[in-house]
Amino acid sequence: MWKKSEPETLNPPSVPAPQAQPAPAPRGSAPPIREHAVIGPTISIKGDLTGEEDLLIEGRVDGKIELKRHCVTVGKNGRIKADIYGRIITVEGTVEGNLYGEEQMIVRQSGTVHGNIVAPRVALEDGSNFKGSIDMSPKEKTIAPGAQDKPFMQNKAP
Amino acid sequence: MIRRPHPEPVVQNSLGLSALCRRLEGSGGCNILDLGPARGSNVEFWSRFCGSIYIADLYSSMPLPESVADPDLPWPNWDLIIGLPQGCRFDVILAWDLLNYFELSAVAGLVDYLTRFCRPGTAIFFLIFDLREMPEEITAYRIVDESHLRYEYKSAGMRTCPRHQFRALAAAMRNFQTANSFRLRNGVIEYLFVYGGDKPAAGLG
Repeated sequence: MWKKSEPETLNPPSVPAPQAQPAPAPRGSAPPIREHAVIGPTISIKGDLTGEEDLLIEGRVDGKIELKRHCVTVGKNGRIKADIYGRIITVEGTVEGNLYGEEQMIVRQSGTVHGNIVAPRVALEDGSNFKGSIDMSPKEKTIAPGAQDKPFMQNKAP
Repeated sequence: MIRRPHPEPVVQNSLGLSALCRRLEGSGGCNILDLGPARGSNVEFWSRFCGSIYIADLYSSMPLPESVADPDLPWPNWDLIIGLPQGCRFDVILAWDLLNYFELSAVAGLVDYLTRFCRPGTAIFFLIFDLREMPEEITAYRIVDESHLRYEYKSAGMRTCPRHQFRALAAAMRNFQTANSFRLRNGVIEYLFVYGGDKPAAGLG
């Protein structure tokens, strides 16, 4: 059974805006710890992405994005043709592909998703554009790389 | 076309939704096809009943472009428009007020297409306007609770209402039979039809 989704005005922990730059470190000190990686609006990537830090995407990605333990945010300028695996996935831009959130999935008002969502909690903000299936069933059924090619709800055919 | 001030959303009783919820109580998880647009609150509402919800958002495809016309059939190519994955089966189909915006031949084609994704007992919920005029554009419906819907009008325009009659609808929806129908005070009739399998259903008409 699904868990209750978050209110539509929910403001979950998300990757901060890219313009928030850390102050330059004084000479000789340790380099600043970056809170997240950013793919800027002029960057276009064809291929798979994996990593161990939060990611903000403002550019284009065509491939698979796999950061299961981290937050993935598709910014307003982001254009993704890929399946995304993340802990918390937030979409403000456009995604064509399936989304697998370990904890939560949020489609913001400006977001467009054409694909299937699998996450224990899903929030669709008013004005968001979504076409596809939403599956909030238990975790063991959800995050299964390779399962994205299976037809929606195939298991319940009579 | 008749112009009117842009109407505010209005909350109305929904006996059909109540009946549908009663059917689903204790069903232990079902799959829902929503032909309407994505509404977070609706997804949250259905989450208590179901395992999955598929949002087809047919509203965003309206009015249907000529490119989806099927030259061999008197109705559009619904597979091209909706494109449901093969092999999936739904327990509930939410058609809202869509059927008012199609001729009965197109309704028959749509139902015929949807039948491929039904199993015996699949319920389809829809609203028919029994008024002289109806909203020019399809209305979005937000579920308030088990017995109330919030009508969210897209525009102020009005158009002539086809006033589909029960017998004609029942004929267009062969293989389905009426489970419930409710005439509401606002001139809307809510229907709950149930798929009976391959044999054409007799209906209640």
